[in-house]
Amino acid sequence: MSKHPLTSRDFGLITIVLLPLLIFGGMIVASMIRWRIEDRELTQSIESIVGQGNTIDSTTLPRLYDERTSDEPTATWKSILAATEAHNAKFGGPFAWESETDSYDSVVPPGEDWVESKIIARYAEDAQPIIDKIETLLGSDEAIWVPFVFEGLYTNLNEVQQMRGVARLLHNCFLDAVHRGNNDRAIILIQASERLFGNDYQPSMLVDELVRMACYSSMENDLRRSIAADVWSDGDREQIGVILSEPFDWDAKWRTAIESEMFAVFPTLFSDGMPSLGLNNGATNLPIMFAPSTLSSYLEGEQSIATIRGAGTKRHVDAVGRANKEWMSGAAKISLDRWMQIPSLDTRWVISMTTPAYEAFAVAFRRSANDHRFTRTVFALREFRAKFQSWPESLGELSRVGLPNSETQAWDDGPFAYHINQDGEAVIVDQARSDITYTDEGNPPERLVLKK
Amino acid sequence: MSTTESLISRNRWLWWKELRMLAPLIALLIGIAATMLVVMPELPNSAQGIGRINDFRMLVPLVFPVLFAAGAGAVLVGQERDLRTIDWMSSLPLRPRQWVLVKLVVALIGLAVMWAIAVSSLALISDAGGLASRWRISPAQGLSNGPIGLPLWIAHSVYLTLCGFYASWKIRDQFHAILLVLALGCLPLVLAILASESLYVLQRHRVGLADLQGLMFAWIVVVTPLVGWLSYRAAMATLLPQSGQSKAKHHVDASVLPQSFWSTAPRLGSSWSSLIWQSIRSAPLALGITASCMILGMVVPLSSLSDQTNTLLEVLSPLLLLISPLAMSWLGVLVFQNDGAADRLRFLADRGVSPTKVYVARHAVPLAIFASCLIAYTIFATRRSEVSSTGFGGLVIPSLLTIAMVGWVMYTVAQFVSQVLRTLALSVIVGPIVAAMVLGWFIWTRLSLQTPTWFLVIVSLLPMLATWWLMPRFMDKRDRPHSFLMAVVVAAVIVGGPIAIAAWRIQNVGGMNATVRDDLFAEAQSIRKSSPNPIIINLAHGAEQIFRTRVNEESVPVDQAEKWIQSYPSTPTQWIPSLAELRERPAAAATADDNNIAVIFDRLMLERMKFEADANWESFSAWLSAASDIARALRKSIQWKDQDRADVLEIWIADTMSMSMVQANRSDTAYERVVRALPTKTMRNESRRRAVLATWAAQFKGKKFVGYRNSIDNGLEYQPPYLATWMQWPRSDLIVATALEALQGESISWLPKMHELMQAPSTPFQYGPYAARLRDRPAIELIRANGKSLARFWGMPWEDEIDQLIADLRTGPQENSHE
Repeated sequence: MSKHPLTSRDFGLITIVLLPLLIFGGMIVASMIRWRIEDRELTQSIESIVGQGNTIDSTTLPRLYDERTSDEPTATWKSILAATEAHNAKFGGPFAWESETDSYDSVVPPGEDWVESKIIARYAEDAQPIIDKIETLLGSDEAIWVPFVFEGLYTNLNEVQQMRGVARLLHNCFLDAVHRGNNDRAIILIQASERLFGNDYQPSMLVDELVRMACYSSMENDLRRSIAADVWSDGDREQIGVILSEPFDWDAKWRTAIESEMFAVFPTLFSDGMPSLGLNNGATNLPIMFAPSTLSSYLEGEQSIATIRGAGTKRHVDAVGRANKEWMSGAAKISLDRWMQIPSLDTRWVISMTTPAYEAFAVAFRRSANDHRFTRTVFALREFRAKFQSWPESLGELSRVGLPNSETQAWDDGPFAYHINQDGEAVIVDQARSDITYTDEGNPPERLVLKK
Repeated sequence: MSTTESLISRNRWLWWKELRMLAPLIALLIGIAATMLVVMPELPNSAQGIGRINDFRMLVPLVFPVLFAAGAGAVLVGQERDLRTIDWMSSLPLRPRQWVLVKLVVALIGLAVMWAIAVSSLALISDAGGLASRWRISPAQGLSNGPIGLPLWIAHSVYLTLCGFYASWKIRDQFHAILLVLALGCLPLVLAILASESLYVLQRHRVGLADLQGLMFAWIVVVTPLVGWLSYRAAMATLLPQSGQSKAKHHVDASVLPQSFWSTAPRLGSSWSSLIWQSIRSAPLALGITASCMILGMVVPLSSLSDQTNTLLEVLSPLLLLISPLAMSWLGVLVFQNDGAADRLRFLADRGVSPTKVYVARHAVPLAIFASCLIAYTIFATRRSEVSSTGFGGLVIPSLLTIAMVGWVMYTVAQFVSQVLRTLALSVIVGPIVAAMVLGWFIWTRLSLQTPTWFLVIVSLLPMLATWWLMPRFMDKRDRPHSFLMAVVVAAVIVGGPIAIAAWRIQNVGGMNATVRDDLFAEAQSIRKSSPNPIIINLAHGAEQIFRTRVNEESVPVDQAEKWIQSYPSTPTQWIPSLAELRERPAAAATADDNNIAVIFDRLMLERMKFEADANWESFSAWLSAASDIARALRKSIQWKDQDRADVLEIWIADTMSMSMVQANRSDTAYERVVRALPTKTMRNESRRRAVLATWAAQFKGKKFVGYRNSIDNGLEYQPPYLATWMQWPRSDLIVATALEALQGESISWLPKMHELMQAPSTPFQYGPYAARLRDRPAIELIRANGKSLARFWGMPWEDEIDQLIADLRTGPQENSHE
């Protein structure tokens, strides 16, 4: 090959080859620079949540949990859980295994026939030592510490689920106490439920907040039915009023639960490889590497959900749905550092693992908060009747017995459906229109007839 | 018959020549198949959760006849045309028809050999259903999602062989011919899908997988004779004298080609640009097709990620996903094996062009294509992922880094294979397979052996370095045997490197000093052998059928619930039937499962609460005695877990005995009996030591592992999956050593060691089961938390409390009881 002067063809050929290689190299460099920038921003995001100089790792959640709880009532609580399991197992069937149709859940006032009374009485009698033990907890309002061994997402939640057993025990004993006309005992049982599943409960994860709400809701259900059946004296109602007027900070509860979830999940995302997720499923340790922008997006999304105000309302549920969507669409934007992620470019699948749960969780909050409002409304109706010897014309009148109008709001943001029937009984339904079935959960609305 | 005989006897040399041509392909494919079959059975151990691994294994032997079928034509005809031996052969007194027939028969013999091997390997690895069930056109019965039946595969391979011949006779360029074979190979599938789609459009009837296979079989039967005939015609057109005119024309073209090739060459001023021009110009079509395949394989599967399912795309997407790595490896193959590359390199070598320069220039074009495809892919994938409505689709959009790493491995390995094999036909077929095997190996080592990524990145550079080092010899065609030696070295590093790292990790687990171990192990064996079988502690359940027979929708009738309560055992002897046996044989050991111990503990707590309420010592002392008898018998067990279960009961006893209500009954014989049955700390630790050793010994039978998992293996699941089996031995030594250290009771340094051995790496020590956070609490509170961790109650204050109880019994009452 003889030597010729360099021409544009030479440059053209070299450019054809070099240009893609240079662009490709440039993409890698750009992605890595972006990685560094995003990494700094991620550190700032983390510090804005957990404070200067702190990071979110697998010790964050257990540390917070230990700080928020007290270990004083632990031994008693543990023995209650154990004995309740044994007691429920002894009675078997509906007492041991949860099923909606299994439980004997009608509130039967004294003097009325009740087929199940014998067996429930036997159950309650045998449960008395456990109730005695629970009573020893009533004096303190410290959040009960459960000695968890923290294992990322797989922290032992079995015991949390066993709280339902205690709720079942309290419920059955309550039915027995009401039927026997032993109101003092029934009120102690309500106080016990309030102590165990009320404001003093400190959840460590989203799941135990759900269990707590279910247990508390079981107690409120008992209260509503007993109020409707008019089993309480004026003195009893005073005590019940104290329990029901205990304010619930739904927003704080919401925030704690969502942040707990974040503190549980984030360290596993952060540790390059989802070790806890993979290992506990018996699968291999997946080589997953998230870009800092993905992690930031995860954190910001979680925070945006956790800080939504108005928990327990329809407005809140809608806002969570919207925030989920925004979180998803925000996460869809591929920042350059994600080119260096392994294995996939898009990591919305990580977010998809949690967002449906958050919306359902918000619905559960709404249900629980409405249950609380409904219970307070039913209670106020009875108070009104006791004070003025008549039912109010509308729920708005309940302000005369100190119930703010905001409490009478139902599922769809209207007042609960209310009327007085031809027998002179008050009929209240836990939604604005009693003629439609509330479809979110497929359950019919709760309809209570308050005896004269 | 005589014609056949004459065909064989007169042309023995011809048969021999053809068979020899085919031998390397057969040998390579058998070698690869054998390697894969040896490696595959090892995989399921580690690849838990990959449910279809068995079916995948079944596919491996089937793939090789198919690959042979695709390559036979290229090797027997294409190579002959490439090396121009075809002209020499044409000059011999040999009838073209005879020659064509010999080639075809040789190919079919090779195919039959491949099938014989495939079917026998299938028979070896086929478990459920056996091989007989595979001789059908529809999917094999009893093997869910099993590969297609054998007749379809066999028919397809014959069809593919004929396609191979047709393409090679028809097209001179081997690479193009192989592409045509692949396209023709997919034809029956495409026709079958089209037929089924038309059926759907016309009749609104969706055909199942079995019908689709039947359709495909029918199409193969139809198109095979057609391709056979076309192939024969193409062969005759190439070989017969009457086509001399066109042959002459072809010859003239061929002689003109170099001239026009050089005459159209631009005058270039840089050797770099000349080399680049050369490598583009030498195979523009091959490069173009490969690049298109790559971009098609990367982009089209992304386009199909929509909510609306398109059947045709859905069926073809997996195939397209395979196309881009295949194309990537072909780019690698083309570096050293494109049309006439060898001659051109020799030409450059003769002119003293630097091998490094040639090397870089040869790689420049394919790498630029690769880079361009990656750029296009990244832009498309980024946009695609941003507009996609769902996050789930994003899971399958690989990042730039992921796809670049996969492509890089395919490329480097394939270019190395093509330099070593030197034949285009072989390289095109074998290159992608070897590259895919190396890629699979890398992924497997990363997942199962947890080989560091940086190591794999470095190792993936080796094939590039090898071809660079061999370049001067390759250009001079003096690369053999060096290239073979280099192939052995590179293969050794690729395979051996991750294994060496894994071996180092296993070595690093540590263990015990050999002499100490031997002595201890002998002791452990003797303990294990001298202990009789333990009594199993079981629980009597009430009449459970009462609740099981009820109708779900109804609540339980009261009489049923009453029946249940009446049937429920109320005393310890009724509830724990094995208690009687334990009492009859006080020296016997007992064992229980964790669930029963948890249930017993719950019951004991309930009975204790009842006692607190009714102060009925007589009935409660029966439960206390039962707990004591069970604890004593569990303590005699030589299973480590039973020692921990005995801890649970002793903790409960210690906690209960310190209650003032119980202390009030300390003069009772039952109280005394319970305290006397409790072991002192020394006795307890001696029992634990025996159990730890015997549990350790139970892991071995002779010098071989026993497959069953015992409690020492807790936490093994946190080790790299495949290494777990290898680490089991040294790890259990270490756990035993740590446990023995704990039993000496001199320090608490064993706690973090035990944590590290037993817990997930993500569980921090200060929040794990051996942390002060828990151990500072009364043990009774911890029983219901995480029951898996071994030795979690060892050395805690409850042991001292028991010693105190025993001492108090000897010396008289003290005033330190609580409650």
